[in-house]
Amino acid sequence: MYTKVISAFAVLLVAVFSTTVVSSVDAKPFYKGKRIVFLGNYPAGGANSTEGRIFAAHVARHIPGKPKIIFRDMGGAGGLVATNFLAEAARPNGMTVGFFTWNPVAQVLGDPGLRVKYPDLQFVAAAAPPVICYIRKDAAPGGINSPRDFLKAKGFKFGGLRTTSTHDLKGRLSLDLLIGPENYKTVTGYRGFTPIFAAIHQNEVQYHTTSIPGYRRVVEPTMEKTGLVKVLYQYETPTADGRYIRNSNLPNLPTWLEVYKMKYGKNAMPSGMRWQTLKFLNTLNSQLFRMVFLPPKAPKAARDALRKAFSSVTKDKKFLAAYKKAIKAVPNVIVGAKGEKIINATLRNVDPKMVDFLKKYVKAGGK
Amino acid sequence: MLDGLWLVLQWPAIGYLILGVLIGLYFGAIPGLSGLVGLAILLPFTFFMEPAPAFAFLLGMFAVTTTSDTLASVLLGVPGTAASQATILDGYPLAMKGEADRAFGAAFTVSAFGGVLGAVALAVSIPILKPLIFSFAKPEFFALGVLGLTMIGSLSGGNMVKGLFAALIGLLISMVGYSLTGGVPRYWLGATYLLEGIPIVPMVLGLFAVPEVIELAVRNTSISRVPRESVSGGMRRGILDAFKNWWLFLRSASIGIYIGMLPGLGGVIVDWIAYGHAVQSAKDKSQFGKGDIRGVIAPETANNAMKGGALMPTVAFGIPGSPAMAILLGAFVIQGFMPGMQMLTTKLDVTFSMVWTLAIANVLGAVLLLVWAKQIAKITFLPSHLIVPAIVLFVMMGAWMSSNTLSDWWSMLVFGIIGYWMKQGGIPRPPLILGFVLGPIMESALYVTYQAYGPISWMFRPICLVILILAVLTVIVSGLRARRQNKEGASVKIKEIQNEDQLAGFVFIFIMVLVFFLAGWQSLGWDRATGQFPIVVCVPAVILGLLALMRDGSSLKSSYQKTKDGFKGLVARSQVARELPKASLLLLSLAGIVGVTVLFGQAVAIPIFILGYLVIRGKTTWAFAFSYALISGVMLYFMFGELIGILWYPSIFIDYG
Repeated sequence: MYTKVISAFAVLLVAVFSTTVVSSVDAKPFYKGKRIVFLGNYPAGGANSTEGRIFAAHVARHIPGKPKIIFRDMGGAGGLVATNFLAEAARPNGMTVGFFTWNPVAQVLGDPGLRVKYPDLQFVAAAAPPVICYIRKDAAPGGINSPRDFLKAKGFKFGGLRTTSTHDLKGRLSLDLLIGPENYKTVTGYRGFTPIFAAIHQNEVQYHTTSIPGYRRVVEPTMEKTGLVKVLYQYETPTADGRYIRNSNLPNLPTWLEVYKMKYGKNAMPSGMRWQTLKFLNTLNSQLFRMVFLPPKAPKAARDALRKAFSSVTKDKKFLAAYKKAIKAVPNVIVGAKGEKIINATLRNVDPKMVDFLKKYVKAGGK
Repeated sequence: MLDGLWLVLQWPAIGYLILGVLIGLYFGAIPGLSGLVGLAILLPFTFFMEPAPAFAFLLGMFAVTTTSDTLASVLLGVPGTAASQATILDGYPLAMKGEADRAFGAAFTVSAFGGVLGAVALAVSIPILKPLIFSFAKPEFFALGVLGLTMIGSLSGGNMVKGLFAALIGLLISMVGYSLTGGVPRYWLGATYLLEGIPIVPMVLGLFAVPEVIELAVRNTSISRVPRESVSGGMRRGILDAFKNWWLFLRSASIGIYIGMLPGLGGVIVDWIAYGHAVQSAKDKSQFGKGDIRGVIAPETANNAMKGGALMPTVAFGIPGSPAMAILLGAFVIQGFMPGMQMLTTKLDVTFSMVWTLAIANVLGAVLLLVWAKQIAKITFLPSHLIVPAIVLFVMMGAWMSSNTLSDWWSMLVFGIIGYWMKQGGIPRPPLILGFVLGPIMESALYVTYQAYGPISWMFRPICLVILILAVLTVIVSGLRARRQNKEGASVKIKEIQNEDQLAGFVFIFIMVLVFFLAGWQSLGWDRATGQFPIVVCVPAVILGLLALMRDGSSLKSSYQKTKDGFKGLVARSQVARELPKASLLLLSLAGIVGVTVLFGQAVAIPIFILGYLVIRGKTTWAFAFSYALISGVMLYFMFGELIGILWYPSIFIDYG
């Protein structure tokens, strides 16, 4: 009898104690009293740094425990230094969070500089500003005042960064499909978008693509409004049900696919390896561009807290106002499982034929 | 214009301007920090400010970093920022002569006026900005790079072969990392850290600071080689020097403004070009490199005037003139401003508020430093065992700021060994830095030029042609002058290479010739775009290296033949061989800091070094050493950890959070 009473009492004690512990764990938010470092993977001053700092300034309010967030830049190797640091060197305690402009092509091409696979990092959230394509109006005789005029353009130069960059690859693939590789030339080797903006002004190159921050910051005020350039189209945003739509921030700008159909017929669709590859890069880029990652072994509590915060900040009026003031756009943010699904679906099993094609395409680039 | 002034003078803008100046003086004075780092840190604070105070804060800080960076350059021979490298060449020798305050007097005076002139240039150039900036495309950039390389003659102190060889080493180092085509990483030795190239801050600190630390530690003397009582005149003399050299001042300011204005060229080369110009245009060059005040006036004027120049394309076209301007552009965006017509029309008052901020901040910063500099200059008379620990702290943390990884420290130590060897071997280091900085600019410019304009026609663009002709004339005139001076026996050497250890120099050049040979050989296996520039660099480098080896070899041979104790005697007379044990010990101690950091972090490792150095080398009491180490640790933690918020190394035993 005593045994039964003692056993019952012990069970009761364990139950009470467990409940207390669990509730006290539950009661104390993971990030209470902590300092989080948001790590940018490009040098200070660029679009990644600017956007990251805007997020960092506001998301802290939405993390339970209201931790302090500081933003640090760790540029190098096209963003790979910070990526490797997050995976290999940062403590996996949830206090270091990567805010990266990622480089999935590096993984596809087996870049020796990338020592981690992106799907192995813990995905928190992603933001994807739309990308616009523009050209100098005097790049063709008679001027370019509409996408239709552009379809007849020949002999212009596309300003690029390096043959392996997503920017160059998407630019070349889309132009190849639209007007043919014989009608333009790629001038690559510019050390960033800033020299390309200058080169457009100087008529050294005539065609370029940039995300919306660069468009709002430089192209719109200094080139479009002065009548120097014509903005032609945006890269389309693929939907889960197989459609290709305009980004909600640019409802009046046609997509690349719409312009393709202007030339080849409203029922025409591109095909072949170039199209497959462009679709692949677009799927990755149009929804996932600025990525928020945690190290592979960071606690789930950290991941969950950050996912909730990123989900919540997109409804924060102060954040939206600051983002709109700086970027002149509404952020498109994907959080949690949705983004994970895209990464796994695209990067875990890349078609070897596409990899082969990309390697050859990169090698032939710049000619 | 007056509306702009009023925006700056009213509260709280003027308060933020003053605060920005004080922070900027701090950032400029600490090696490794800079205006760029300061802007990145201060930017978030401006998110919720009005535009005028925000820009007053940011620009107030930014304007003065190239004024206070003179402190480290003159006192320690360590560049305070990347913009003050050339100042070391004559600033540090002045400190060694006990004339640090004279150097400060001249530097701060011309910094103030140079900064104001840069601001004025910004204001008056607004109507003509567009044609001015956009007439310089990639072909002109390449030609400017060629012109910059012709400064090598001035920086080589009479030994142009070794100077050019050093510049080619710099060009080779600049090619480490991804090539422009992006597909092929060059000379990266399998280390991800090297994929984007070698960062400049650890390299410069290693090349210049580490050899000076070694020298101070080994020789155990104060920075000044003369007693305090023997020096007079000081700061007042420096201020008068600044006014006496007003013509050089104006020319240097023009160099700063117009090179600073060219987007992508950046401020890193303005001080070298200004210095080179000062040497080339001087009638009497004999004191350059030994403490010629003009060698301080020219670069210090240029690097402050450059700020106004760099603001021009940023404001007018949203095209930053330098990396720091890229951050300022971010501030524009966050404040809701658009560069371009808006800044030159409806927001002209904000543009002029920036002009006034630059002008006021430069004057204020210079005045504050003139007041404090006399006391700071007394550091040059302190015994070295009191200074070396502090220098090591700032140099190590300065290098750490680059990418917050241990690789920055290893990079610094490797270049420290190279810098020490070059210094002892009589191979000038400034041309290496110039080559390193110009390399990517020139390679990128040439590569784009070939694609965009073809192989030949670009040379006949008018501005390009003028610059290339100037470059050719510069080389011819320098060569003729050097030949004449050699004939007259008046060949002078900069202090850089005065006391050369011929054996050390010979061995260094021999090893580098092998490196160039291997590098060139490897580049033959790359595609044309990737391998072209390396070949263009390696082939002449091997030729020049062999030429230098022949000359030095024959000089060594005659020394060997004259001595009775043969090769052993040569080695015994080699300064490097004699200093090697003590130098190695110091380098090993610095490497030890790295090791202890892995275990316990920087906040423990550096104070332990300081404690050990003071007790063992300085022979101070334990109490004094402990106090010094404790204060250093606290300063380290608060200055770098809390104030700047660096990423501490994730050490094994201590979690810094």
